[in-house]
Amino acid sequence: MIAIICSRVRIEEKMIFEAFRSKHKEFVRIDYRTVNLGNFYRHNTRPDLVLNREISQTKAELMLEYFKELGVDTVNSYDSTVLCNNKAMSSWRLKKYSIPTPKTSVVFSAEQAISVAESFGYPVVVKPLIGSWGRLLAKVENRDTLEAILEHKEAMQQVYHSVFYIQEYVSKPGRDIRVIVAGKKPVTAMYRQSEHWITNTARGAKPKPCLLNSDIIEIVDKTVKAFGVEIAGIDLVETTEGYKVLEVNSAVEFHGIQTVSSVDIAGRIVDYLLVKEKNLLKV
Amino acid sequence: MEVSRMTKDKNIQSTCPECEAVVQVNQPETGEVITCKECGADLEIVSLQPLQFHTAPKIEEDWGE
Repeated sequence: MIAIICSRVRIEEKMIFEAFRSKHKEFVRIDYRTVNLGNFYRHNTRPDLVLNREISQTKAELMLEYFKELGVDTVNSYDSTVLCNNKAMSSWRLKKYSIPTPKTSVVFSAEQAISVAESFGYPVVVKPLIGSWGRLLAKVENRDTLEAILEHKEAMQQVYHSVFYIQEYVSKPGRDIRVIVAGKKPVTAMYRQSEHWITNTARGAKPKPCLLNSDIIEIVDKTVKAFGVEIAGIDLVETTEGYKVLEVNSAVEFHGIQTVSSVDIAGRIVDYLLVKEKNLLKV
Repeated sequence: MEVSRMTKDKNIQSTCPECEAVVQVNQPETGEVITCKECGADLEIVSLQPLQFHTAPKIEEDWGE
């Protein structure tokens, strides 16, 4: 049996549920608000495979770690999910595997952050370590603004906001690219068009079709191997030096790209899970 | 844990807990959030039989993809 970790049911979760039902396959749901994880200690209650679709990254990581300790396979793995959720760890992994990505530095004091920004040259982008949907990003044009933002972040008195993730600003051609990976392979892509420098669809960017060319496939394949993801959304930016990876999303939202893609994304995800489950049961 | 099954009713309705307007839902799932067209409140489906809504939890900082 496949279990799906999810509390909030978004359009994507509904699509995945429908894909299971259309293939006449059953699944169970695990909602952290009601589940007693201790119930899975008995072998006969454990799922064969777990899909993570939990909207809370913290809760997701805890549950994935739990299943990892129990020896239950999850998609994506605990390690891949933690890597994707943390921008610093993601940047370090991209650099380790020589995958093109904007210049980034992680520092622990305002003085260091200013020094980094001045070495990169303004504008720079300040991002929270943990966060999604284009929230709490700041494009910083000068030192005065940077000092104000750093002061505000320190005043929040939260652990992750006192670590400063500074990235060079990369000028986009009015869009970026989201590639959907299902079963470790890119299956479809979209441009996210926006006049604004933040190009998340959650912030109003419009999806447009994007062809998977060989350069996109190459950089996505390298990123999939580096991160160990099986189902993901990989965000790319087009630069004068070629494609660069911005981030990897491990519980990817895809209702926007589905409006411009003929690929049945939920169907591909479920097909992959069913094959994986079958292979796990053979062992 | 129970196997997840869809309710047999594709279009069912219940009352908004904020404004008491009748709210219809197509193929509801527990955990799904819909918006009351009368008052604009975000409502989470907490039960299918009977269909029941609670005011949806607010978005938290660690939510996302």
